[in-house]
Amino acid sequence: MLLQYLIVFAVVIIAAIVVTRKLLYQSKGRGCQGCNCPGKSEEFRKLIKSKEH
Amino acid sequence: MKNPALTNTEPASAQELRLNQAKLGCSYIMIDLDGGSKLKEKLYSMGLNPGVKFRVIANSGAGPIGIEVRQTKLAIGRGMAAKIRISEEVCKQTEITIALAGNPNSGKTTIFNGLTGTNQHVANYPGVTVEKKEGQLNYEGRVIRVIDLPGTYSLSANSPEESIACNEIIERKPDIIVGIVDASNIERNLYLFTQLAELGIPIIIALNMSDLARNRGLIIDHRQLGRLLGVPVIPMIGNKKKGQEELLEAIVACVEKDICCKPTPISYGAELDAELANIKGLLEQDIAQINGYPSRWLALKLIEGDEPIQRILANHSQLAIINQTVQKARAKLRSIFGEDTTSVITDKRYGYISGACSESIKRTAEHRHDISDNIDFLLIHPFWGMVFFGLIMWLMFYLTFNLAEKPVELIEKAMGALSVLASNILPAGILQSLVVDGIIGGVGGVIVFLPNIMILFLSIAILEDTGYMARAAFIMDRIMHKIGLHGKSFIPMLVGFGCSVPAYMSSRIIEDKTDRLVTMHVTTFMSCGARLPVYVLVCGAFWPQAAGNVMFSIYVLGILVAVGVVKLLRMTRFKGVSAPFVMELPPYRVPTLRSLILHMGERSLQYIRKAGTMILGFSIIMWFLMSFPQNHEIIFGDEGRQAAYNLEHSFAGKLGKLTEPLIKPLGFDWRMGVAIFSGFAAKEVVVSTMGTVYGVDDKSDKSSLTLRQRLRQDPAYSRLTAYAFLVFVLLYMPCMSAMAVFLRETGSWKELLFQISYTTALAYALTLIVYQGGKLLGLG
Repeated sequence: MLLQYLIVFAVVIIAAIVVTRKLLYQSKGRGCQGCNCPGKSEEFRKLIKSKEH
Repeated sequence: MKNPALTNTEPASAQELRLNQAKLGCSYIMIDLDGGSKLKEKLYSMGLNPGVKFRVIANSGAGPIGIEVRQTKLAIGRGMAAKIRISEEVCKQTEITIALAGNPNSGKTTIFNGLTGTNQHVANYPGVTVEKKEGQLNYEGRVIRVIDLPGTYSLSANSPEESIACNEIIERKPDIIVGIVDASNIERNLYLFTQLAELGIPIIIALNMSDLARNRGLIIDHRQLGRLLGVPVIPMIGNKKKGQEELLEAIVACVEKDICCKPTPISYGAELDAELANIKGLLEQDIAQINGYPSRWLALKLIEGDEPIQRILANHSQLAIINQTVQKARAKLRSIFGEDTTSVITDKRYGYISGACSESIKRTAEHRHDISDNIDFLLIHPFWGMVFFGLIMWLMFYLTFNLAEKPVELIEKAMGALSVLASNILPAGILQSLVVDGIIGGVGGVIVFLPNIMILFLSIAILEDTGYMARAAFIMDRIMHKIGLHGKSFIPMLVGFGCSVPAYMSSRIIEDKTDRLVTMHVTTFMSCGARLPVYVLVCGAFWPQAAGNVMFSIYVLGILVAVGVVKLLRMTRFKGVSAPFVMELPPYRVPTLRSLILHMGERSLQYIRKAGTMILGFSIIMWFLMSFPQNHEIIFGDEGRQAAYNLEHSFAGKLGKLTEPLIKPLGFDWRMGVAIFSGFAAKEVVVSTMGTVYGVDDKSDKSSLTLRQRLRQDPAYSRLTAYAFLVFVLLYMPCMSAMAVFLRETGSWKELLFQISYTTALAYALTLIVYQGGKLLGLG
């Protein structure tokens, strides 16, 4: 029983690490579903700001 | 202009080398061979004799060495190579940078994919590529870096994605520009070429879609066209990879063999040329301050009145004089030609193109109406166009649900069997619960909807590749204008049916900043593919006979809400008039099977990958939150009631109960609240969380039921609650990825916070109306 708990906690910790990493990755605008993800749109943002549209 | 052929060149060396020491991509001169006369004779007869120049095309450090000598490729064993004495002559360029430039929808990304072996998204409507992409390929020992630029009609950047293309060409100065020209629309496409020609960078023209041009009765003498324009012209069929080899050969020849790739300078007439020369002279007086830009090009841009050029010349010592001269020149030219200088320059360019085309193109048939025109008569008709649009959308969602039904049932059964298997193998206890309820219940709940995802993305790919998307934007233009946007805004919205992230990015095709912001604010209501599993789950559970129609109604609701919100935003935060709509309607094309399969396969793989990472991780965490703290006290004799009690007293249960007063008026219980909250990470997680909730909750003999069956039997759900749930999922804030991209694209936290708060508030208000209104009408 103790072994089962140990395994379960280990799995949950690994899952928490994976999810945290994924969320951090996503917060950079990556990892979305089915798109040519934006590696960087910083350049574009600057462009918009520099233009008087 | 930098010439990498020179910059990457090493000087000749008197030092002797052996062939096995030769570097890949370099050229050498054969000195002699240490060996017997028979061996020498053999090599000489094959063309490798003393004094001959050759190039190394393969040398991996092991195995034979490949060389190209006298247009022949030879493989020489390492042992033999060690006997061949060579003198290093010239190390040819091993790295070439090319930029693919052309009009929107001319097939740049298709050629980019063909060259680099990547699978960047392509479709048959303008504005698919809004950010430059880079890839590379190895070609006969050289590394060719390829930059795929967003489509642009001119170098006077009118929209942000055109600015990216423009800046990339001017500032990065690739070794060669490959001008991708749609052969079926050659004159308009060559207009950009006339502007590129001013930059002084070698150009090769890739005459893409040559097959389409031939079908339209255009016979293009590409050699003659090349002679007139002064650059190599390569006929290509991008989607069949035809002409690719010839293009690569031309690129290498242009860089290494000095094949002429410099376009013939365009004359704008004596008067204009004289003014250009005058301004050019002034610009060259402070050459350091023109930052490497071609002075004639700068002069031309100044005469055209291109505003951003002023920034480039900000530190020029003669700026005041230059500006005065430009003003005088413009006035003088206006008095001579009686029209604006921009019009004069445009006329001259089109005149030049027209001259070149008339000498090199024959028309075998008078073009009147082609198939595209005939189809368009119906599909962009003011009334029938709308009818067809509605029908096409309905069909897409009908097929998404109905065609996938059988495969979904099969996967559900497989998941059920997997649960039973895991229950039999693992001893009863917490580990079994983690595997069965957490992992299989959560991830399995999402995976079962893979067939729906595949069909949805296949349908979207067909609409994109045929060219219908541009028509949809055209049809919607009338409605969009009435509410304060233009049809172009509908393109990001249509992309949003796939995923909000590229949708936000594709809003770059909209020139006006206010229009773009409004579009981005409402794009989220176009239900993305990640929400689809939620709809399929709930619609399949409560409307098994009419699931496609209910799903369609949700998508239509999304569009209607978007329309309403645009109107509201236009009257309040983003007042103003929408910019005029100019968009190209591409010809209809039959999509290639490869493109459709690639498109669908890529999306499906991403869905599976997401299920195996993010959703798996989240399912485990949600299971933990629903299973802990463990309660070993037996309160109820009935196993099902005991499980429900334990769930309610778990971490997730307690958190969910906290939110219950807030969501109760919407008809939701705490379990739905937890599912909705978890959708913040990714919308599919809503389904996996529900799968875990029902797995942990349900310990009765119903555990063999599918998630849809369990939902149907749950007394907490009625059809009204289910529809209210769908409305909330449709409208509430986008997922984390989408929000991050929204922030990057707008560069404003204020806009992001506005987006999160108003979408969630709207979702709450509309769901409340649906649920409470439905109750009043006796629907729930």
